[in-house]
Amino acid sequence: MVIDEQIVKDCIAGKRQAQRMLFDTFAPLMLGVCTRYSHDRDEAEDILQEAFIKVFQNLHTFRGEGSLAGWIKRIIVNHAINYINKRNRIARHKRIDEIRETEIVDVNEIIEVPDEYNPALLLKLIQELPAGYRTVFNLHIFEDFGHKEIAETLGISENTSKTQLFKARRWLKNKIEEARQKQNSR
Amino acid sequence: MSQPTKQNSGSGKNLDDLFRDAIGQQEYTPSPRIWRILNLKLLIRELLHFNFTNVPKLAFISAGSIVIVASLSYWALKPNGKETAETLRKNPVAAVSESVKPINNTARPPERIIQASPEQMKQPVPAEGKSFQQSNYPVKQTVYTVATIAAASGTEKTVSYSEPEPGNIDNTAELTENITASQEVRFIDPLVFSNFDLLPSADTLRFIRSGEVYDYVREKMPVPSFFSVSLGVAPEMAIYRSNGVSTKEVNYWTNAGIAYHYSRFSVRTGLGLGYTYDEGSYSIQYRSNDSISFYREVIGYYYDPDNPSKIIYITRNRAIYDSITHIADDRTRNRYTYLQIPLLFGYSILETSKISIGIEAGPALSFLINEKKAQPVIDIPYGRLIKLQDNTPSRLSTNWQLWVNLSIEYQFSKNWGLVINPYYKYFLTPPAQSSETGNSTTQAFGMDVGIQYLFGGKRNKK
Repeated sequence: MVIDEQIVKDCIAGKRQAQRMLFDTFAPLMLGVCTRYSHDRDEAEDILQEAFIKVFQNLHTFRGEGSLAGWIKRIIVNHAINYINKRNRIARHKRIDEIRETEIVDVNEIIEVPDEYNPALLLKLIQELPAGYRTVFNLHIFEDFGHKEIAETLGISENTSKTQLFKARRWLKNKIEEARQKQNSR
Repeated sequence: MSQPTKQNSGSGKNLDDLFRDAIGQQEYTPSPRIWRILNLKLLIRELLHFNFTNVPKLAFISAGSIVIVASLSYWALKPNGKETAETLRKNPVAAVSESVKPINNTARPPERIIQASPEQMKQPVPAEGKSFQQSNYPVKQTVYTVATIAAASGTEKTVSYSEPEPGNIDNTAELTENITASQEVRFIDPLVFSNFDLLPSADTLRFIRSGEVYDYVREKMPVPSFFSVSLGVAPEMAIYRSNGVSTKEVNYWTNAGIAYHYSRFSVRTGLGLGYTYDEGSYSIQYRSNDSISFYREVIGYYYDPDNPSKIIYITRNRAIYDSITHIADDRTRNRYTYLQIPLLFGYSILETSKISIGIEAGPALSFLINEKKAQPVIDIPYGRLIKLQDNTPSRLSTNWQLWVNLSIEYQFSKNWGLVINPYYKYFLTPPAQSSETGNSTTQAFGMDVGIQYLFGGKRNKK
């Protein structure tokens, strides 16, 4: 995944060949990121395509202080979050309502699961998560966001973030168990 | 999507690690359509933010080639004398007698008298498609005329003529004749017209040969002028740009227009009814009691039967709640109806019997005639609403736009035609204003497709 400085400059200058090269280099990995935030492949591709417009629009602000892949990934993640929020127009405060706790949970619970599941199944489970759970889970697990950072990014409280993460984990664990039981019963 | 095949191994692991390891670095091959759409969007964006630094050389070469080809085509096809027709008219004998004087009159200035040689008088060739009528005017051996013409096509030449009156009175006058077709005069001599005269009318050229008099009359054809009406529909993409953030919306227009055409020029007006929508943005601030932690409440205890010195506490979890302020966003869909009145001035660049292509430009005024705003959904069963803020940009009752049309017409019958008008609008005044300050621009692209009826039909057109 090597993109030299000249290609970045050419992309900024609007040279389509360089832009194509940059797209071809990073799109597969970024599509993986988008897929985790979306509920299906079409939505993931929409996010990818719109996010890459932003990448090209803002490439001149990339100062080379970090990796280009990391910079692009940050844009992709931000755009994915905005996209999901926009798509679920009234979901945002519903999501907050959904997490109102009537029971006490240990938000730091560590869930042990068998690991014989293939990535396709795991990805499918993530995509089936409710949008709120999915976003918090992705940010925490894959982007290494702390709860404070998640709260700032999503405009929710840290506690909400913790609760969402807990519920996402529990939901995933149950689904994994269900899948295992189905597999054993065959 | 490429099918992941990696299988995890091991007896068990943390759920987070399981997901992180399995799909944290998954890659999928994007479908080719993504790049195609991206490429198109980048192109559109470049056109919207046009500056000469981001134009590839190929585009410059293409644009230059188009300009050159268009210029050459225009030069080759330009209406050279198409608006007039020249016919040879039989000259009445009476007129001959009156106008053809003994033109070797000594009163005429010598430098403007040129004597025709006998060879020049011998065998003039009639112009194509013309026929001459012999008159009974007596043959003269020497004929004088009053001027020469350099008969290059399209050149303008001042021609003097004189009709000396008896008694040596010189009535010399100056006329200007635009000689647009050399073939009309070449049968005499391309350089020296020893035997022609101009009548007082600038559109009549008189030739005298061997005593015969021919009047060459330019007949002006009427300039085509007619009305047309049109009806069309136009999907339109409007792009609002404010503080560097672009939003797009799709508008739909139904347009009825009437135009008056005069020669290649036209003026068009009409009424357009447009439907558009945008997203209402609301900020809902509310407060609710949320659980933030818990503690274990001791509800009883007993001594361990196996170890009486040990106390076993019976506990239950108790939630700790706190009042937390939330800000939730809600988005709604608002619908608007506009009435627009354009005034477009056009010029037809290319016209054939079936197709005409032209450009139109001018101002347009739009009125907001109906507005339906949806209310936000406020669903806070366990909370208390503190503030509801409407962040939706407010629509203005009128706005001005500058239009540029490319007008393409295909005439499929005498009166009826198909019109396709791709257009661009630049909003001189914004259609909506938000509380946020900053620069904002609004532009729109659309394609009006419809039918047109010509009053008078093609017969009035060139």
